[in-house]
Amino acid sequence: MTKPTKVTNSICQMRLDHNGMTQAELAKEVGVTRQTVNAIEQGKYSPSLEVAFQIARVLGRDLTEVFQYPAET
Amino acid sequence: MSFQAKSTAVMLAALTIAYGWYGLQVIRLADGVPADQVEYQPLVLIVVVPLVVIATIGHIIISALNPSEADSHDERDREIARRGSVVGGWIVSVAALGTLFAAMAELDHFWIAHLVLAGLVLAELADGTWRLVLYRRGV
Repeated sequence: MTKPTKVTNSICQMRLDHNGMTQAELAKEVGVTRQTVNAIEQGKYSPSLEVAFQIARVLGRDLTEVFQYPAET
Repeated sequence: MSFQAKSTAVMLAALTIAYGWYGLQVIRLADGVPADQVEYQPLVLIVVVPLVVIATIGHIIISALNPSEADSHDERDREIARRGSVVGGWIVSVAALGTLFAAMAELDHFWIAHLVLAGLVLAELADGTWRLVLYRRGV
């Protein structure tokens, strides 16, 4: 099945690097449900810019470190 | 599965059971009876009871199973709900046009009422089904 978004992210690895933060903990910090964090990690949902910035801030990273978009080919 | 996804599944089940029962009762009442003599009006009101009971019990159960997530929702739930509503809106529009033509063709009130009712129920079913697809497939 094709993913509904081209945006990829490194949230899962960055969570683990961030003191082993769980999806539920990240979700609580950002103010979304755990299932939404899971959907974002799996590329099934592109978050709003605001939520994307909040995720990057909680993980202590820049937005472009957390989220990537493939270059035009 | 998020609380809103479970809630959507509960509402789909409640609608299917309640209006499935309604459909069977109307077919039974209409058997061999002219459309203008079918006493469907009490059923339209009565069907709300099982719908509300099933939906309420279902929501109590899903809330009790995971109290910390009860009634939680976020931007993804709102986006999925919006997309579901678009699908439901199309079906209501088609049903409204069908009802308009039925009225212009001077069909019996029985058929006009059931075109409206079918449109509303099918719109809710399509809305809920599409939401569950989006929860699973992604948006």
